[in-house]
Amino acid sequence: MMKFDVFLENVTKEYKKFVALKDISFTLEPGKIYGLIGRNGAGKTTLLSLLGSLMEPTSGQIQIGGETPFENKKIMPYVSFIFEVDYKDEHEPITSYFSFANQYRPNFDIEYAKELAARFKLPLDKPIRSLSSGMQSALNVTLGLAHRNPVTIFDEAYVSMDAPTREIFYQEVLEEQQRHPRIMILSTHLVSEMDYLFDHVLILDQGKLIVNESFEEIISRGASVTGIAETVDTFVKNRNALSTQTLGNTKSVMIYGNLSDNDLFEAEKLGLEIGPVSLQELFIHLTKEVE
Amino acid sequence: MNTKNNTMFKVATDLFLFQMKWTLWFIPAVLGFYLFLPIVLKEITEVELNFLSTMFNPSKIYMLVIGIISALAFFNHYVQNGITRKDYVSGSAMAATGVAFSIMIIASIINGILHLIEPLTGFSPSNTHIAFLDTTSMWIIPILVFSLIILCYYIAGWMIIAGFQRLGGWGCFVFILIALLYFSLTDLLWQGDISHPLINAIGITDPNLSTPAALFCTLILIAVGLLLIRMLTKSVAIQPK
Repeated sequence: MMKFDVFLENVTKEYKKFVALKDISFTLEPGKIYGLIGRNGAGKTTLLSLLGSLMEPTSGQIQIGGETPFENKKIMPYVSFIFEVDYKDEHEPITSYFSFANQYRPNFDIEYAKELAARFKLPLDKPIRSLSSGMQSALNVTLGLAHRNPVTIFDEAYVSMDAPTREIFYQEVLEEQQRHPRIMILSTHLVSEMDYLFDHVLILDQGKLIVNESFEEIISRGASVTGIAETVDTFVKNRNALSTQTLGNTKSVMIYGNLSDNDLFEAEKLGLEIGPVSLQELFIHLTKEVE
Repeated sequence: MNTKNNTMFKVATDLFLFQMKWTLWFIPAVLGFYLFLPIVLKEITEVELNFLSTMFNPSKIYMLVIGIISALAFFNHYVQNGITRKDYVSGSAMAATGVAFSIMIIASIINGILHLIEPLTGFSPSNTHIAFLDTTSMWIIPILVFSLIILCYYIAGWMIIAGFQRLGGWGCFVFILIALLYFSLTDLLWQGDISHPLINAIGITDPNLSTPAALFCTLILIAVGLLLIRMLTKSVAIQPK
């Protein structure tokens, strides 16, 4: 069985005069769920389109399972790139999409697809254009999960689903990853809602990869320091402060960078409270535009 | 499980069946006009052409249109689902060839049936052939020629969309002109000066080729058209939407 690890080296993508991705390098390993986070226009969809062989990079190389994926029939059927599809002209029912996937996706599990459709309460025989946008999204993720492909990419494919439906999707992602471990990439704006799914985090900002770390690592890089204003100021001096909140004489500063055991000991001695920072907060501050 | 090499044939079968669904509306529509127009319009006292020849002109337009529609409707969907551009283009070319021949074979069968039931119905369409080709004798030749000509129209339609996908709005415009030239050339090979005004305007004279020579040139034209589509779509970028 082929190992479908993903390898990018110095990948750049330019559109005429606009540089969408600059010099991106990373490796993705089977069995992990990757969170791809970035603001609008950061280059997430472009990056995922390259992995899905929808386009070629301007420079640099992409390898999946040790081979260039673009126009490669040994790779392309095994990479699922799921995004919000425009179904306004789709008269076919869901069953047609299932039989299509059954033909062209080597690992497609039609029974599992039907099971998911039932969980999402999708009518199998109605024209897809007549389904609500939430149901259409649920169809997209159903296909993505049931393709059971070694590289499965969801690009904001869940934004139209309501909260309970998204919750079903998250559960399925975790259960599927147990049953059929693969490289799963979830690109999202819904960071606070989905962060518990991620094994590893990639943050894109203006076409550059600014974070490529495991979830634990990136989370441990942030801390909130709360206490008496002056003491906090002394403690965070020479550290990378991301944001500050003040209430009376109490100050809370969010810092970026690891705290050593000595730092923690010192903070305790100074009566400062060290708290965790969420991925969402780190993301917002790391990608904040300089005003 | 998928075997790796048959994707192209699967694409061909899928696209053929899909487009034949459309075609099975198209043929009865033309047949309806063919049978009922002389009844409705009293001034047409006699049907001038046999059914096979009657099918020919509407089929050109039909093939042009489905060439455009299928490239728009299927190409992105297939590539987004992990089918290589190469497999899609090869499969789609096979499907189009199948559709072209199916239209003309079905038309011939209907033509044959109309003649067989002629004594029963009293409906007697003329067996007159189209101006440029003898369709009364050796059925295989008209079927072959008509099929290849309408295939060229399909390729012309497909080429417009491939130009648009590769080069954007201007590409579409340029390839509309190229497509126009392309099917005009096809017609010129067979129909000479009864062909398009464009050819007359350019001032190309009727080459008046023999059937085998025209057939050979048509095959070359088909190969060139398909090669052009392949070049345009070889590494075309697809927007996820």
